[in-house]
Amino acid sequence: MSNYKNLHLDIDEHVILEVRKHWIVFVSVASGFLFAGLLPLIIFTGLKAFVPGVFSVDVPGSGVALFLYFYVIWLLTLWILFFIDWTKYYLDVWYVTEKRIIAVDQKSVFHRGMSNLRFDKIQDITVEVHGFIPTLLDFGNVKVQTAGQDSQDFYIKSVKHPQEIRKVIFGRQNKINEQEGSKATGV
Amino acid sequence: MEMPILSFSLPSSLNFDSLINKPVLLFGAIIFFIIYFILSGVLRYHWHNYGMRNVGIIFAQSLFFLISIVLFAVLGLTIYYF
Repeated sequence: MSNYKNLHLDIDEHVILEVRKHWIVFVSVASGFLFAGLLPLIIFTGLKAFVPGVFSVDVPGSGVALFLYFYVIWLLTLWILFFIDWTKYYLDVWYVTEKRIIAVDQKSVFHRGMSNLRFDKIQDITVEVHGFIPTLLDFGNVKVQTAGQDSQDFYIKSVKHPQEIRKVIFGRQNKINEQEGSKATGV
Repeated sequence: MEMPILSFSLPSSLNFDSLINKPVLLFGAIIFFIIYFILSGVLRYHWHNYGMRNVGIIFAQSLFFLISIVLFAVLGLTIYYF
């Protein structure tokens, strides 16, 4: 079960939605790492086929063990780089609560920002779904425009189910407006 | 005018004995392990502090450490059998 202690929520506040980028965004990164992982094997096979003279060099000890040594170091390097990228992808998230949107912007491992946006400050939400694949897999960009000149807009790219997110945020905003209205009229 | 044909061949008398031996490989692996350990610590810090105990984070963390241990074990074996 998730623990949102670090978001410093109010006592009566809960996370109702976590907004993350679609997994397809990370697939291209993962494919690059997979290719890089196979690259030494491809080069090895290519050299064996086209430049067999390379393997006639006298190497001390076991040649296979030496190749595996460097290959494993290469794989470990890729493995940790993959997880650094994945962490950037996975921790870049919006938490939607009953009261606000908490946007976590994970730009790099050592660059992280967090902003809050209360629902009463929201002016409009724009959803953009461009292209065949985004339409098919239901992902797109969400922009939350805020009231006031000095406040910045919230923008997240390639998120899953953008229309659903828009619906949830507007739903919460309407509920808050209704509550505020009934408080003002005393009903 | 004929173009000269460039030929390339590796010298057969290259001696790698002083460059590649068990202590050198072990030293390289230790240095690599230290760097890996520091970076893993940074990742673990992020997962622990900002992951909000999310199931995806817990799964990724387990997978990361499991595969890392296996690969380091293979690295140790390659030095042993070198």
